[in-house]
Amino acid sequence: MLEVYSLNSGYGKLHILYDVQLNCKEREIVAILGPNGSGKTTLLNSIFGIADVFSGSIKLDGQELTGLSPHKIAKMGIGYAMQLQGIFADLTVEENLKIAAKMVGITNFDEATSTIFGFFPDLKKFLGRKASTLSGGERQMLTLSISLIRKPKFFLLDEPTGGLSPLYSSNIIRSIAEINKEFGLSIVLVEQNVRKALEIAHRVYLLVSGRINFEGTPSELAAQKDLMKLYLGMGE
Amino acid sequence: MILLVELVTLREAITYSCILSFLAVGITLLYKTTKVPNFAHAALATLGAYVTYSLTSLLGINPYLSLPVSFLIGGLVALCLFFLVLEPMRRAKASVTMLMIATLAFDIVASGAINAYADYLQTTFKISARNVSLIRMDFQIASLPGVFLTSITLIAMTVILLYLLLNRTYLGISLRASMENQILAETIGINTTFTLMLSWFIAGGLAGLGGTLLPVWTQIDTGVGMVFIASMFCASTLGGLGEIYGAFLGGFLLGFAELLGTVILSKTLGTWVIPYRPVIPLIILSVTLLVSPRGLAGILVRRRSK
Repeated sequence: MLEVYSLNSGYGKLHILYDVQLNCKEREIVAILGPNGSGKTTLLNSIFGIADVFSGSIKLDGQELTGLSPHKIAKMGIGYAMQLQGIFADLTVEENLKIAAKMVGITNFDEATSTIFGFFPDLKKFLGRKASTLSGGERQMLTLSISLIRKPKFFLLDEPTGGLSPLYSSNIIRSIAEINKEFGLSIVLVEQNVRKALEIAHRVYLLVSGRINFEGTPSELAAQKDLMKLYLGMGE
Repeated sequence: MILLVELVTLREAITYSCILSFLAVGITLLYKTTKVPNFAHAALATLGAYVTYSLTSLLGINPYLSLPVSFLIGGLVALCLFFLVLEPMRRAKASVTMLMIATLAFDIVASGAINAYADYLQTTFKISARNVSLIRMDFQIASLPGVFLTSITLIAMTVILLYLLLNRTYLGISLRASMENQILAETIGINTTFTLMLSWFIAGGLAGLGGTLLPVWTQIDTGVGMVFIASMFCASTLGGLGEIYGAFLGGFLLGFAELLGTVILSKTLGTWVIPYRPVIPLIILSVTLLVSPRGLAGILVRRRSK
């Protein structure tokens, strides 16, 4: 289980998150929703040791993560698909996948990629291409694949549908739900597309100005018409 | 125009270009990984020159036998700069400008140490250590000087080995990944402190190699690295600061332009232009920044995307 207790974090002197409490159980999809600038990405960056944690605790299966460098956290079984910069554009698609697999000791590349290609068959065609030549949707597939090939227990996803066409967005969201079911992966999902996130999430946190304003199931949040309207722009 | 240039000058230009390439590629590598223009590269080159001079003068060995020692010492001193100065500053979130000034400060300290070492050589071993050269110790094959043959062989080996390292090994791919996006590299489990260490070691080692060739090619002094610092940065910028192979190309273009340009100008305008040789890299640097700030690499990328 991934647990966040009384987290205060930010960057340098900039304090962004205040007393954030959150957890993600095994095989669960937890969506973090909130308006722009509410601290959603900072929350994921704090979990992964990229943002500065001022106080509080972050635990993975009881093991403290705060103070560890990101590469050590990555090796503990957390995958992180970062917003807009989840691929190495100068490397080929194959190199992107190979280096991600190698870093967790996976040596049988063909076996590791066969599962990935089951989800994203198009990637197989692009193995020799430079990642910079991929389209937005293909890049997002590669971003997810880089994390998935590492067989993480927990998966942090930051705006996986950002900048994608509605068709690609639906495909990506559907893939995330399938990944959760087939791999039994726990997923913390930050997503601007509220409707799509609520479709696949088991639980939801609403983050506003660095504080958790709501915690519950998607249906419980949908019932909070004032919150939906005020912070998520979802009217009647 | 080529008729104005003798074969000897052409040979000299190739040798100089090779030396410049060794130095420029290190600057590019460090700029790509650490985003810091490393001014201490001048001292690392001087160090390589003095390692070779010392080993040859004290032990009487062939100057080229000191190549591995110069590479190792250059690499280790660069690692010291990284670990003792830059890494603590980076952890304290120092800006790139502060890091750049720190490399300049390290260069001043290292130059002081090399000066003290030169005095030590002079007083203790009675070996003259300023304005010296090892040209007389060089070998010749078919009237071609050893430094010419060695520099060409070394540069070819370096390009091939760097290519194999960066493209055919996981270590190299992780280094390239770290160069592009350190945070992303960390999130997939790459220890970027280690890849940074590796890049500093390689860059320092290559500066040491470039330095080794200096006393066999020309006269050296304790400030010999500083003489070439503008040319090093210019070659690196000309190649495109972010492109490793571009630095080799930049080194060759600048080396040829600087040496052949001086010869051609002195033959056409008169010998009074010779002291103005250092102006050539500065003119090339200015033109590069104005026409194509991303250097030759930028031009190639633009052509490819058309």
